[in-house]
Amino acid sequence: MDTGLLIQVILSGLSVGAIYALVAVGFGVIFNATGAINFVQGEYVMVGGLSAAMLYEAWDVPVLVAIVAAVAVTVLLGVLTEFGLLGFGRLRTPASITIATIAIAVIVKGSAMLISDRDTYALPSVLGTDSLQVLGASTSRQTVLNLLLAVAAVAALTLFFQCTKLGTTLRAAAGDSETLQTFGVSYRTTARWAFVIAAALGALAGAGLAPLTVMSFDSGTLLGLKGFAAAMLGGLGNPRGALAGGLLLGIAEAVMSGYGAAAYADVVAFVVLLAILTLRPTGMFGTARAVRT
Amino acid sequence: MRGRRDAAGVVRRRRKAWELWITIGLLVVLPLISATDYSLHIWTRMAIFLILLTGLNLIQGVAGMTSLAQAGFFGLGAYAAGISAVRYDLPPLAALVVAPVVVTLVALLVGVLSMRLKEIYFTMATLGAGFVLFLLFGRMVELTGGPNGLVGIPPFSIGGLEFTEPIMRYALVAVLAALGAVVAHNLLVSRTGRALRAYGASEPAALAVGASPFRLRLLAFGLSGFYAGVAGALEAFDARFISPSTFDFMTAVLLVVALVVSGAGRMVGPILGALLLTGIEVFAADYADYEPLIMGVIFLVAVQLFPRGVAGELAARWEDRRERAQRSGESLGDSSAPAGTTRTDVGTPAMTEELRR
Repeated sequence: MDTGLLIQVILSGLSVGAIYALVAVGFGVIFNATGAINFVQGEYVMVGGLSAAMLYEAWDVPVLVAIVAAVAVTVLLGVLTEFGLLGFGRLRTPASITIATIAIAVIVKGSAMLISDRDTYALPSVLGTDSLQVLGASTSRQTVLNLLLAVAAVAALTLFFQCTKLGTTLRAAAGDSETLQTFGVSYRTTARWAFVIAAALGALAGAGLAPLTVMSFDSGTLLGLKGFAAAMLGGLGNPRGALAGGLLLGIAEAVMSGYGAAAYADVVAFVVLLAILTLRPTGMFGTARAVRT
Repeated sequence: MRGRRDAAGVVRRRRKAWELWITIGLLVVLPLISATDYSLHIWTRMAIFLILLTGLNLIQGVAGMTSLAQAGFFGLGAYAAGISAVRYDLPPLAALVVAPVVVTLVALLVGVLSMRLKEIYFTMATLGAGFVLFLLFGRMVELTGGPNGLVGIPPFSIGGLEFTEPIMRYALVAVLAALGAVVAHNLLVSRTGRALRAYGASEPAALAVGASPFRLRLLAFGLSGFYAGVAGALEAFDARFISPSTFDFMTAVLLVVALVVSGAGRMVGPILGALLLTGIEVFAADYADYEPLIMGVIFLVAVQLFPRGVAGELAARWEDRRERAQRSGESLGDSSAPAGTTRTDVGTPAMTEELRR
């Protein structure tokens, strides 16, 4: 077997896998706070990547500034999402919130389609265009950046959840939201923070994804669902599990497309999703939770 | 006391049958309103959606589990019929039988894998299944024609009789849609249907009574697949060209949202949902670029305003009013009856409605 190819495949898998990991962490944060699946998560990635690339290409904003602005825009979108879901005080069950997130995802995608006029935009890597030689394989420097980004995000979130008061509150919301409310912590406040964090993660993922591919209004949906598969693989709601799940899924996809079945690479994520739900619905690192009846 | 409860049961059943008659009535009346080729085409689409939603209603509305696989099953039915007609030269009638059988088997397989999962996990499993199917339609190029679609599907025919006239095509779909609605209605008022409804309404309560809902839900899911298979085959023979994009994630979402917004779990839900979907399709032809945005806003508003669907919300209000009227009527005229019994009697319909939420 050609080692060069193998390393190449693994590197490209890690590069995309890091993005899946960031998306997966976002799913977990929202799930812990609300019990719902946030279908807007993939659209946060699209909005983050697309707005950064549009700022860079259309208005010549420096790359880093464009990324910061994109994160800000996406976080605002996160706050708006929370308002759209819970601001009317009528949706209470996770199932109905989940359905409403689909509606919001459609709105976000529809707006992005109008704003971007269906054009595609590209963003250069912050680290320049030079490629990196690793053991005879070459990869973009963005790969390293994405991996660092994913690991840093997971580490920071883990610290945040363990060491800060807000983090503890969010963890408590995941454990028993009703008891938490009797302590005077508003459901909406925890939910809003969860959406802010998830949107920021999504925007970072978008900024990391944009240099690897071109961004369009359509980039978010499939990516978001694959990120969900990664989240389930690692255990929904567990940041470290999300990292492992994302990287594994990325590598699995890369192996599939690197070794001759490129047409079926997209299918991998959904087969993994079905398999993990059937065999071990708590995921590889998931905490024990009632997922079956 | 007993007599009165029976009477209430008859009234309830008749009201449900009334919802069925709306469905069948509309199928008959629509072509009388307008029978141009274009409107017949629209009515045919509507009837295909009706079959899809009637199937989805069994799992979504009655068993209370959201399935995002319906678009994938719809596509599988269309491709099963199309491929057996184009690649294996099966007569259309045989293809119309093959498609639902294939889809039912696949639905049962997916159901066995995912049916024991809790609601959101189940939904995501069906999403996975739907996506695998959708992606395969585009990737198995030799069999399906890939992203460019499957061309050359013959019109539906029985013996030498070809269904090429718009009115014939509509009649075929409408008859099957009406048949499907009758079967679904009969299932729902049957013992099985009531058991299924009980699981959907309150799982802990149903489990406490002692039975596992697994088999019943599997039955409902398999049936929803069967309906999707029929709808898919009809779509293939009606459009005579199918491509993967018709059966994408957006379609799956649209089906669920249309049903939820119209009133999942009620017999009138599928027909309202089908009208809504057809309306969207017609409307979308004019405003292609703004369609997703407008649709998303409408859905968000609808979900926020009517968490139980338009029909569910109206029915709940109607039940409330009736209950209030009944309570005031009984407190005036029936004061001699023991207080406890009266309360149970009045409580029953309200509680059923409560459970259904």
